[in-house]
Amino acid sequence: MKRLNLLLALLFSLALLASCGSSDDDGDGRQQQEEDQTTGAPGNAGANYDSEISPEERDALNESTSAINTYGIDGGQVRSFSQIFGGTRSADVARYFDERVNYIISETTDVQSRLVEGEASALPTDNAIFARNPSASLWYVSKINEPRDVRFEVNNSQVDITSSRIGVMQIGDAFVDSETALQAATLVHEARHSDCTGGALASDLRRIENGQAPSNLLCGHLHGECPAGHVYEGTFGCDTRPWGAYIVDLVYSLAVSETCATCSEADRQAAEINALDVIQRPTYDIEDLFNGEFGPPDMSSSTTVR
Amino acid sequence: MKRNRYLLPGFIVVLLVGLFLYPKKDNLPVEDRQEEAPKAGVLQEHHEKSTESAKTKTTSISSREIEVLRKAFPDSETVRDEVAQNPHRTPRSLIEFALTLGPLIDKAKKNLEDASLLMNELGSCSQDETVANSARALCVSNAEKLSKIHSSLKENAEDIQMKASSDVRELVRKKNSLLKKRE
Repeated sequence: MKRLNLLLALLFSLALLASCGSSDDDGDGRQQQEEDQTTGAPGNAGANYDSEISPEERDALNESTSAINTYGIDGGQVRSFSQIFGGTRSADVARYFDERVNYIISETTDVQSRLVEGEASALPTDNAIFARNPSASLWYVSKINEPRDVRFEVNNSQVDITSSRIGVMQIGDAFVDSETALQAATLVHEARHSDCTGGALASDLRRIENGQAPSNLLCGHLHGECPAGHVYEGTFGCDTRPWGAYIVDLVYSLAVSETCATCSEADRQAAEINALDVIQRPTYDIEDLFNGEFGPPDMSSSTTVR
Repeated sequence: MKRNRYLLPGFIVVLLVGLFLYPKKDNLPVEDRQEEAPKAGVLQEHHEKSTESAKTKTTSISSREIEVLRKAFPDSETVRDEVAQNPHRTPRSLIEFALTLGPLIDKAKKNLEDASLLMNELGSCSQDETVANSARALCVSNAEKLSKIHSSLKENAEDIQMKASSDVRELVRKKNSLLKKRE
């Protein structure tokens, strides 16, 4: 039991590495690991809103997911857009999102308490988050606890955790207060964290059981530490592996800022400055990436443990 | 006569409709406006004011808006602090700057005088070393875009780009390199 508690605590810390945009200022290192990205799936695109979603959260989600569905963008003008989203239109972005996000829960929901056959951990609650995607963490929990059947409760139903694409996303105040274009970009960013590209490492399951962070950042596309000399040196606001969430975010934001015919100028400007910030997040050379040095984007997700 | 309970509500509806449909002052026949005809001196003053406003109407960006824009320039230290607090998302001060700039860019795209006015501010922004690089890059990028709409501002945009720091120029170049049309 104690072991499971520790395991869950560690795994949810890892979820923070995959989340983006926390505004919690307690300075705890675990906060940096937390992944705060809120991506919401519009109810009309297939994702289920949990019963604890507030009216404000629902409104923000509906607006941002509607934006994803309806923005008049031309991804054909942005490199690698079609490789990432499987097409050049908003409908393709919506489909990409739907494949990765199935449930959206409120900032106020205690994720750990929703684990069935899993114990609540000692993970602290963030004060305010943009969004968080603990999907890969949930899958790690389920793998480590096999043959116990760990499930996730949402809307009073228990859902099997068969892969990282269980797609559970948690939003927060920062998301609700943000602009539509940025909310949409956050959703797109967050969805990427549902991909366990290449599968998990068996050694990582052991590392996690021993209270260590996984070494394979591709499972969940976890963020890494920005190196010395980087503009954001010392923070966990960088991507150290190719085609991560920041690159997906960048490509989408550029499509909005440069091609969106139905967006306001304010939305386009917000998307562009987001792109100009996010373009600095990868620790590798962006141009090498888009020139094919790291291979094409692998948008797959695997349940293999190797 | 039986009391008609719809008489009063009906009267109110008719009154409201009538108020709505009553001709506005400008559409009244001349004889109906005589009471409000201004005196000669007032006419001259009105004419002068109209001419002046006609001149200033060519620039819709106000000095107040420029002042607000300048105050919104995000400095590098603030941006770094915001990232330290919230490492995963774009700093709020950058977003606020972009949102302040948005409506002005909108006006500038439609009006050469506004574009010319704003170009000066974009130049100041791009060369201010206290301003965060992302914001400076946004200023350079917008100068470029405005010059494509207003060709007479091409030299201004090129000057702004040339005078920006190498880091800022590199940021804009990288962003543009991801756009197929600009390759």
